[in-house]
Amino acid sequence: MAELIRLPAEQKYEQELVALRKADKGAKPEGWQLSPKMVEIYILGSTETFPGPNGPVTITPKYIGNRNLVQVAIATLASDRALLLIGEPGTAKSWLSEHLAAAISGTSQYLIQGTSGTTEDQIKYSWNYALLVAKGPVPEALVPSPIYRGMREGKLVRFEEVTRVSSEVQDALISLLSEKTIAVPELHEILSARRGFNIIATANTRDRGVNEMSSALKRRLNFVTVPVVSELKQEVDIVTRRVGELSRDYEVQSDVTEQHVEMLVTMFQELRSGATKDNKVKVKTPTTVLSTAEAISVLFNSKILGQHFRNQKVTHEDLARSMIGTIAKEKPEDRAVFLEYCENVLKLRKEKEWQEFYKAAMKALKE
Amino acid sequence: MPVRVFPVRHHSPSASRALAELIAKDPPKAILIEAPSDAESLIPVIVDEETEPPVAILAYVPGGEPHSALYPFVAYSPEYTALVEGTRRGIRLGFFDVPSGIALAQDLAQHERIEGASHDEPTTATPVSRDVSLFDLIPEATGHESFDEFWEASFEMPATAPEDYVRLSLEFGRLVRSLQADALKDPEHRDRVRERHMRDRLRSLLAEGVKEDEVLLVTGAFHSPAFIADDFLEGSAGPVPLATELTVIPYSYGRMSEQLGYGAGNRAPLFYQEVHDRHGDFRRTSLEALIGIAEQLRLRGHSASLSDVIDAYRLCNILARMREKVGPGLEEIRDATIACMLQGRSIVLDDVWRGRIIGNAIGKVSSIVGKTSLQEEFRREVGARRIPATDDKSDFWLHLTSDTGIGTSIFLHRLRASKIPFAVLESDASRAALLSRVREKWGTQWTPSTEIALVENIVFGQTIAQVCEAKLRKVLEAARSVALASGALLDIAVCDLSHLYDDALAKVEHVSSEGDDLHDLAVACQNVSALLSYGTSRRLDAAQLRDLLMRLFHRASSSIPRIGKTDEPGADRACTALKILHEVSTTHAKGDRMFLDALVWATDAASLHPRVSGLATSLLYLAKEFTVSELEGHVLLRVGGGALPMDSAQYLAGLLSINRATLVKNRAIVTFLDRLITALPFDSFRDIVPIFRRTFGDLSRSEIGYLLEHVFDLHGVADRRAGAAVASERDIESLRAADSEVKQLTDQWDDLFKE
Repeated sequence: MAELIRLPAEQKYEQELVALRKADKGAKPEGWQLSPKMVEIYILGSTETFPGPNGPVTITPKYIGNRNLVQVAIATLASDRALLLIGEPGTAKSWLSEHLAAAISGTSQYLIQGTSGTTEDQIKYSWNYALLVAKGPVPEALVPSPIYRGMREGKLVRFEEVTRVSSEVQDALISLLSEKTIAVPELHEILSARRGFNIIATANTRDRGVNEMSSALKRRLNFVTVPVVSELKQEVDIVTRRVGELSRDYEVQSDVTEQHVEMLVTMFQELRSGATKDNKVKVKTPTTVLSTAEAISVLFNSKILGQHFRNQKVTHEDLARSMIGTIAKEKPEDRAVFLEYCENVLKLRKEKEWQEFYKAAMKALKE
Repeated sequence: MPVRVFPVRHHSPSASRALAELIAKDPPKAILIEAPSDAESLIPVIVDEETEPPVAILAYVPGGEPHSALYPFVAYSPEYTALVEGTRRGIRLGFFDVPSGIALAQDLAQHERIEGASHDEPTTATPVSRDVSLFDLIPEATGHESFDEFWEASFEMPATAPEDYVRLSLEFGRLVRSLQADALKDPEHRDRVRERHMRDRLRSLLAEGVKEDEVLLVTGAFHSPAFIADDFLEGSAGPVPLATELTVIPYSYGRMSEQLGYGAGNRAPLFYQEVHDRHGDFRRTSLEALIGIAEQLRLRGHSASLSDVIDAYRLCNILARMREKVGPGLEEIRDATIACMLQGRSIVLDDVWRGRIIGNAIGKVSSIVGKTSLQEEFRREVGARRIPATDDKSDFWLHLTSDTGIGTSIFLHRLRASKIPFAVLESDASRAALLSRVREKWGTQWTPSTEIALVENIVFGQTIAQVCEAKLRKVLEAARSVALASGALLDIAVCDLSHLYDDALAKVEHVSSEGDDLHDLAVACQNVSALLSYGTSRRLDAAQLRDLLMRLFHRASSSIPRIGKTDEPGADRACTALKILHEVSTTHAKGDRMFLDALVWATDAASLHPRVSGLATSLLYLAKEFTVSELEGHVLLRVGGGALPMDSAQYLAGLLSINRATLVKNRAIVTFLDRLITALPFDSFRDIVPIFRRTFGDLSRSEIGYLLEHVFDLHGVADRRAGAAVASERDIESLRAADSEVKQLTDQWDDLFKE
């Protein structure tokens, strides 16, 4: 097991990136480490193998979904505008942003996490006050922000939850995005961004703010909506891959069957969309967003429980408990929504696995 | 030397361009085009200067059930280019596909094989779907989103020499043909039948002395390899041809975009017209399309500046490079518009797309083609009355206060009743209300279907009035219920066909004596009552109508005791019927004993659905047949004692479904309702809360005010503020919890009912 809990994408997928760079014959925008086509292959994966330093490398899909969406995101980063990935929580916006930065700039580490407390200093620069007092405003006393560094080095900068920062700070972004410069009056200097610099911002549609962004800022961003996955096979594929990766990282070996994943994703999709897959029964939807990320979390939690307490087996009880915990996360009353779903939908499914899950869920609901 | 073949995709700017260049370079002596051979006489109409595409050859079977086929042309259809260029250069022109009668017979046979297929919609006789999997296989293999994107990127965008275009298109045709090898083994396969006809037509042309290398065939890429290799699979002669008639009608970009699939339609007729006008310059066309989209967005209140257009255009070009295309196409325009101008939302785009990319142009047909009298009348009336007739739906109000307004209303009603798809009356009120209006809201939209219906309906009459009369006579003849027959009577009135009244009245009389459905009879009463009230200006014999109404009313009254036990939908129908009859009685049959006696029966009948009984009780109180104490007595009889709580609740729901304002204002009535509800055991109360919630939830604010005033008084609460104090003492939180529980219960009930 790696000593670090989580490696950044450029390190975790270093072999793939090296292989792609070696094979890349396409024209690269200045400051980019890969051509747009190779970035697309890195994100969406390929059945073709690429020669790497330690033998052939298969490019695994990092994002499973619409190809056009990924192409628009990549093309935006090669244009004058910054990219804003918007969507429901848990739709892999940050994940996509990290991998785009890793592939294009070779680093995903220039990151600002937007909060209501984010200040203008944090997006431009601040000072090391001990040095400032000792030496005055000298270059070594300047503490560059990730954006400052991104501009200086021609790298992509990630700005998470951009709509959560105050409008004053959002306004400061406008000039950064249009002028591509940061003025440092204390040093009588202006930092102009090198080619390759751009910003990948993310925003949740559930958060207030997207509509409150100034139109000036909106005009400097290209919006790409990352949708909730609605196709069963696609979501099963995503959940299986991500849970597999997490299991390898954390050395969790408990068994999880394909059927488990399919049942879980079916329930998530039905509760999310408000109807059964055959569209015959209407289902109430809980307040909590039942994203793919939540499904991954439910399954992985059940796997950990299985590993340590259930003889390496994932049980229906653990899956049900974990699911109830997710559904009733925001509103405890949403337990009733799941109860109704169990009674009206699961109970009527005749297959053995569904019946077992139904019994387990009813038992868990009574706890 | 074999014949020269130009393999086309229908409605393709690049095919059209390449064909024009080939004809100019080496003009043939004769051109045979893939279109029905019996439509050759229409070539002068299609190429006439007055004709402006989009137009379509319409082949239809006169008389009987509507059955037709369309062969559309836009300005950039290679077939149209062949006709125009050929005419300009004096080249002999001909059509060489199967005659329309065989094509329609093939369609009919195919439709009959597909269960439940509708024959109402005209088919497009171009090869619509060779093999659905082909349209999935090709984009999947080439990494495109759709077959259309593949075609655009591979055939429309590259600036290929005409000879290269022919070579590529032939290769494509061979590929499609090989995928169809199994299906083509059937000698009855429509393509084998078509190719046999095409080959025979070509042979007869050659027999006339035209040399092979002097002939140019303009046919689909699919058929071309057979002519090139002279390798035909011998097909049958096809089914017995239907007798058809042919004409040319205007077509529209809107309809064109709906006919998708290989060759049949075109997903963006306006955009490709502009590509055609700019000789295949996709970059310039995309830029102008983006400017147009931004303009349309601004008109709809979105901010889309020139700077957005510039950024969108840049993004388009980067995307096109990534997708290995020569230039930006429709996919790039869509993606860039969503990203740069619409903040990631695609919903708004649909409307703009329709206007700026699909287009709403309607073609024009030369006056040298004979138009039917119905087409002439339609054009004349629509023009004179200034009725909107575009392929975009237009809504407008028509004021019936002038002769012109009334005349237009009659014209539109006649089209509606004739089932000529053009005008829709935007109204959710009952049909009887048609006569009482001083203005009508109409929605009109011209589509090729309008034109087709005008052509096809000539069999029913020479004027729209005659067609309408013939259609309404048919409706009358077919009507088996009094509601339908009286509905036709109303249509006859609004269509001003007074000479049909006698027949219609006789039909209503006849059908009413045969049926005893309460709802049907009630609707008929409503229709006849409306005619009696508002139809005096329509030259009706009032005495005759009054007699008919009373007979219908009495038949309906006598049907009340036959309602019997019903389910929920049955109770709904019965309640609607009683309410209608009550309305009719207030205007034309006040105090009618037969109706009132029937209501008395319904009030007490234990076999009836309690909601119907409750409504009957309320109607009797409204008709002053019951005093308050009698009302109380009847209500107590139904809801007190051993009555099931659910039945009681349903009864009260019926009681309060009409005349609520009077009931809740009456202290005595509220008193006994209050007594009744407060006396219910908790469990029973909980069970019926959803029904009460629905019943009282419909009360207006003022009705709630009256009700609360009485309830506060009854419970000794001086005013509303005191009421609030009582509530707070009882712990507001627990009341909220209770309300939430009730809401959940009601929602569950709603879901159950919906299922």
